[in-house]
Amino acid sequence: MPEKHIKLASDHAEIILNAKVYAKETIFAAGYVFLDKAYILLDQAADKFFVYLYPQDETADLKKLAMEFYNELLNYAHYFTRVKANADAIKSLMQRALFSTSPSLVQEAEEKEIEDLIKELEEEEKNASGAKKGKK
Amino acid sequence: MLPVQKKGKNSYTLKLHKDLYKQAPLEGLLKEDKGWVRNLNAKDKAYYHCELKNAQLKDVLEWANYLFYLNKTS
Repeated sequence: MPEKHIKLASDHAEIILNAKVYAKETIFAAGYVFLDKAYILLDQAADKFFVYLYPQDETADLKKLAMEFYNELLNYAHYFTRVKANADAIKSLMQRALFSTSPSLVQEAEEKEIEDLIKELEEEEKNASGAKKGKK
Repeated sequence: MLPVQKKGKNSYTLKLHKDLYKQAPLEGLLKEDKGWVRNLNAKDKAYYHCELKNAQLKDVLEWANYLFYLNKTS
Protein backbone atom coordinates (compact mmCIF):
# COMPACT_ATOMS: atom_id res chain seq x y z
CA MET A 1 0.00 0.00 0.00
CA PRO A 2 2.47 2.73 1.10
CA GLU A 3 4.70 2.55 -2.02
CA LYS A 4 1.71 3.43 -4.18
CA HIS A 5 0.83 6.43 -2.03
CA ILE A 6 4.29 7.73 -1.19
CA LYS A 7 6.60 9.20 -3.79
CA LEU A 8 10.15 9.97 -2.75
CA ALA A 9 12.16 12.73 -4.44
CA SER A 10 15.68 13.91 -3.64
CA ASP A 11 14.58 16.53 -1.12
CA HIS A 12 10.98 15.71 -0.25
CA ALA A 13 8.33 13.01 0.14
CA GLU A 14 4.95 13.28 -1.52
CA ILE A 15 2.06 11.55 0.21
CA ILE A 16 -1.16 10.97 -1.72
CA LEU A 17 -4.27 10.61 0.44
CA ASN A 18 -7.81 9.62 -0.39
CA ALA A 19 -10.08 12.50 0.60
CA LYS A 20 -12.86 10.02 1.40
CA VAL A 21 -10.68 8.42 4.07
CA TYR A 22 -8.85 11.41 5.56
CA ALA A 23 -10.54 14.73 6.35
CA LYS A 24 -8.80 18.06 5.88
CA GLU A 25 -8.90 18.64 9.66
CA THR A 26 -7.06 15.35 10.22
CA ILE A 27 -4.32 16.35 7.80
CA PHE A 28 -3.90 19.76 9.44
CA ALA A 29 -3.81 18.17 12.90
CA ALA A 30 -1.16 15.65 11.85
CA GLY A 31 0.80 18.32 10.00
CA TYR A 32 0.80 20.55 13.05
CA VAL A 33 2.72 17.88 14.97
CA PHE A 34 5.30 17.77 12.18
CA LEU A 35 5.95 21.51 11.96
CA ASP A 36 9.15 21.25 13.98
CA LYS A 37 10.68 18.47 11.91
CA ALA A 38 9.39 19.08 8.38
CA TYR A 39 8.24 21.82 6.05
CA ILE A 40 4.74 21.01 4.86
CA LEU A 41 2.97 21.97 1.67
CA LEU A 42 -0.55 20.86 0.80
CA ASP A 43 -2.47 20.50 -2.43
CA GLN A 44 -5.69 18.84 -3.53
CA ALA A 45 -7.26 17.56 -6.72
CA ALA A 46 -10.58 15.75 -7.20
CA ASP A 47 -10.82 13.28 -4.33
CA LYS A 48 -7.16 13.39 -3.34
CA PHE A 49 -5.00 15.38 -0.96
CA PHE A 50 -1.28 15.77 -1.60
CA VAL A 51 1.09 16.34 1.29
CA TYR A 52 4.66 17.39 0.52
CA LEU A 53 7.10 16.89 3.37
CA TYR A 54 10.52 18.55 3.19
CA PRO A 55 12.61 17.41 6.17
CA GLN A 56 14.23 20.20 8.19
CA ASP A 57 17.12 17.88 8.93
CA GLU A 58 18.55 17.12 5.50
CA THR A 59 19.96 13.78 6.67
CA ALA A 60 16.52 12.52 7.72
CA ASP A 61 15.12 9.35 6.19
CA LEU A 62 12.31 10.53 3.88
CA LYS A 63 10.43 7.23 3.86
CA LYS A 64 10.54 7.01 7.63
CA LEU A 65 9.27 10.58 7.87
CA ALA A 66 6.39 9.80 5.51
CA MET A 67 5.47 6.65 7.44
CA GLU A 68 5.53 8.59 10.72
CA PHE A 69 3.18 11.09 9.12
CA TYR A 70 0.84 8.22 8.24
CA ASN A 71 0.89 7.10 11.87
CA GLU A 72 0.02 10.59 13.02
CA LEU A 73 -2.81 10.74 10.49
CA LEU A 74 -4.22 7.50 11.84
CA ASN A 75 -3.88 8.80 15.38
CA TYR A 76 -5.89 11.94 14.61
CA ALA A 77 -8.43 10.16 12.40
CA HIS A 78 -9.12 7.85 15.34
CA TYR A 79 -9.23 10.78 17.77
CA PHE A 80 -11.79 12.70 15.69
CA THR A 81 -13.92 9.57 15.19
CA ARG A 82 -13.97 8.92 18.96
CA VAL A 83 -14.80 12.56 19.71
CA LYS A 84 -17.74 12.36 17.31
CA ALA A 85 -18.95 9.04 18.70
CA ASN A 86 -18.62 10.16 22.33
CA ALA A 87 -19.96 13.68 21.86
CA ASP A 88 -23.05 13.05 24.03
CA ALA A 89 -21.06 11.44 26.81
CA ILE A 90 -18.48 14.24 26.75
CA LYS A 91 -21.25 16.84 26.90
CA SER A 92 -22.87 15.16 29.87
CA LEU A 93 -19.53 14.85 31.71
CA MET A 94 -18.74 18.50 31.07
CA GLN A 95 -22.14 19.53 32.38
CA ARG A 96 -21.64 17.43 35.50
CA ALA A 97 -18.18 18.94 36.04
CA LEU A 98 -19.56 22.46 35.68
CA PHE A 99 -22.44 21.69 38.05
CA SER A 100 -20.06 20.33 40.66
CA THR A 101 -18.19 23.64 40.80
CA SER A 102 -21.45 25.53 41.44
CA PRO A 103 -23.95 23.54 43.57
CA SER A 104 -26.61 26.25 43.12
CA LEU A 105 -26.76 25.29 39.43
CA VAL A 106 -27.59 21.70 40.45
CA GLN A 107 -30.39 22.94 42.70
CA GLU A 108 -31.77 25.13 39.89
CA ALA A 109 -31.62 22.23 37.45
CA GLU A 110 -33.39 19.93 39.93
CA GLU A 111 -36.13 22.51 40.61
CA LYS A 112 -36.62 22.97 36.87
CA GLU A 113 -36.84 19.22 36.40
CA ILE A 114 -39.46 18.92 39.18
CA GLU A 115 -41.49 21.79 37.69
CA ASP A 116 -41.41 20.11 34.29
CA LEU A 117 -42.57 16.81 35.81
CA ILE A 118 -45.45 18.51 37.67
CA LYS A 119 -46.55 20.29 34.47
CA GLU A 120 -46.39 16.99 32.61
CA LEU A 121 -48.54 15.26 35.26
CA GLU A 122 -51.06 18.12 35.26
CA GLU A 123 -51.41 17.92 31.49
CA GLU A 124 -51.86 14.14 31.67
CA GLU A 125 -54.58 14.58 34.31
CA LYS A 126 -56.34 17.22 32.19
CA ASN A 127 -56.23 14.97 29.16
CA ALA A 128 -57.52 12.00 31.17
CA SER A 129 -60.44 13.97 32.68
CA GLY A 130 -61.27 15.43 29.24
CA ALA A 131 -61.44 11.94 27.82
CA LYS A 132 -63.79 10.75 30.64
CA LYS A 133 -66.17 13.68 30.09
CA GLY A 134 -66.19 12.91 26.42
CA LYS A 135 -67.30 9.29 27.10
CA LYS A 136 -70.18 10.39 29.40
CA MET B 1 3.11 19.65 -10.24
CA LEU B 2 4.85 20.77 -7.08
CA PRO B 3 3.24 23.72 -5.28
CA VAL B 4 6.62 25.45 -5.11
CA GLN B 5 8.36 26.37 -8.35
CA LYS B 6 11.63 28.20 -8.98
CA LYS B 7 11.03 31.19 -11.26
CA GLY B 8 14.35 32.97 -11.36
CA LYS B 9 17.71 33.07 -9.67
CA ASN B 10 16.26 34.00 -6.29
CA SER B 11 12.56 33.89 -6.97
CA TYR B 12 9.88 31.27 -6.36
CA THR B 13 6.14 30.91 -6.86
CA LEU B 14 3.94 29.10 -4.41
CA LYS B 15 0.56 27.65 -5.40
CA LEU B 16 -1.87 27.41 -2.49
CA HIS B 17 -5.25 25.75 -3.00
CA LYS B 18 -8.12 27.97 -1.82
CA ASP B 19 -9.99 25.02 -0.29
CA LEU B 20 -7.00 24.24 1.92
CA TYR B 21 -5.56 27.62 2.82
CA LYS B 22 -7.82 30.21 4.45
CA GLN B 23 -7.92 33.69 3.02
CA ALA B 24 -7.61 35.71 6.26
CA PRO B 25 -4.27 34.31 7.52
CA LEU B 26 -2.81 34.49 4.02
CA GLU B 27 -3.83 38.11 3.55
CA GLY B 28 -2.43 38.99 6.97
CA LEU B 29 0.87 37.34 6.15
CA LEU B 30 1.05 38.95 2.70
CA LYS B 31 0.56 42.33 4.33
CA GLU B 32 3.26 41.56 6.89
CA ASP B 33 5.76 40.36 4.26
CA LYS B 34 4.86 42.67 1.38
CA GLY B 35 8.54 43.51 0.92
CA TRP B 36 9.26 40.10 -0.57
CA VAL B 37 5.96 38.23 -1.06
CA ARG B 38 3.04 39.21 -3.26
CA ASN B 39 -0.16 37.66 -4.57
CA LEU B 40 -0.02 37.31 -8.35
CA ASN B 41 -3.80 37.36 -8.92
CA ALA B 42 -3.47 34.65 -11.56
CA LYS B 43 -6.26 33.48 -13.87
CA ASP B 44 -6.43 30.13 -12.09
CA LYS B 45 -9.12 30.93 -9.52
CA ALA B 46 -8.75 27.69 -7.55
CA TYR B 47 -5.35 28.77 -6.23
CA TYR B 48 -3.60 31.69 -4.63
CA HIS B 49 -0.38 32.24 -6.56
CA CYS B 50 2.28 33.89 -4.46
CA GLU B 51 5.59 35.18 -5.69
CA LEU B 52 8.47 35.18 -3.21
CA LYS B 53 11.39 37.34 -4.29
CA ASN B 54 14.97 37.40 -3.02
CA ALA B 55 14.42 34.05 -1.36
CA GLN B 56 16.01 30.65 -1.08
CA LEU B 57 13.93 27.47 -1.08
CA LYS B 58 14.35 27.25 2.70
CA ASP B 59 12.86 30.73 3.14
CA VAL B 60 9.88 29.78 0.98
CA LEU B 61 9.30 26.58 2.94
CA GLU B 62 9.60 28.37 6.27
CA TRP B 63 7.07 30.94 5.07
CA ALA B 64 4.72 28.14 3.96
CA ASN B 65 5.12 26.42 7.35
CA TYR B 66 4.21 29.61 9.16
CA LEU B 67 1.15 29.96 6.93
CA PHE B 68 0.23 26.34 7.75
CA TYR B 69 0.57 27.16 11.45
CA LEU B 70 -1.67 30.22 11.08
CA ASN B 71 -4.25 28.16 9.20
CA LYS B 72 -4.32 25.56 11.94
CA THR B 73 -4.52 28.00 14.82
CA SER B 74 -6.83 30.66 13.42
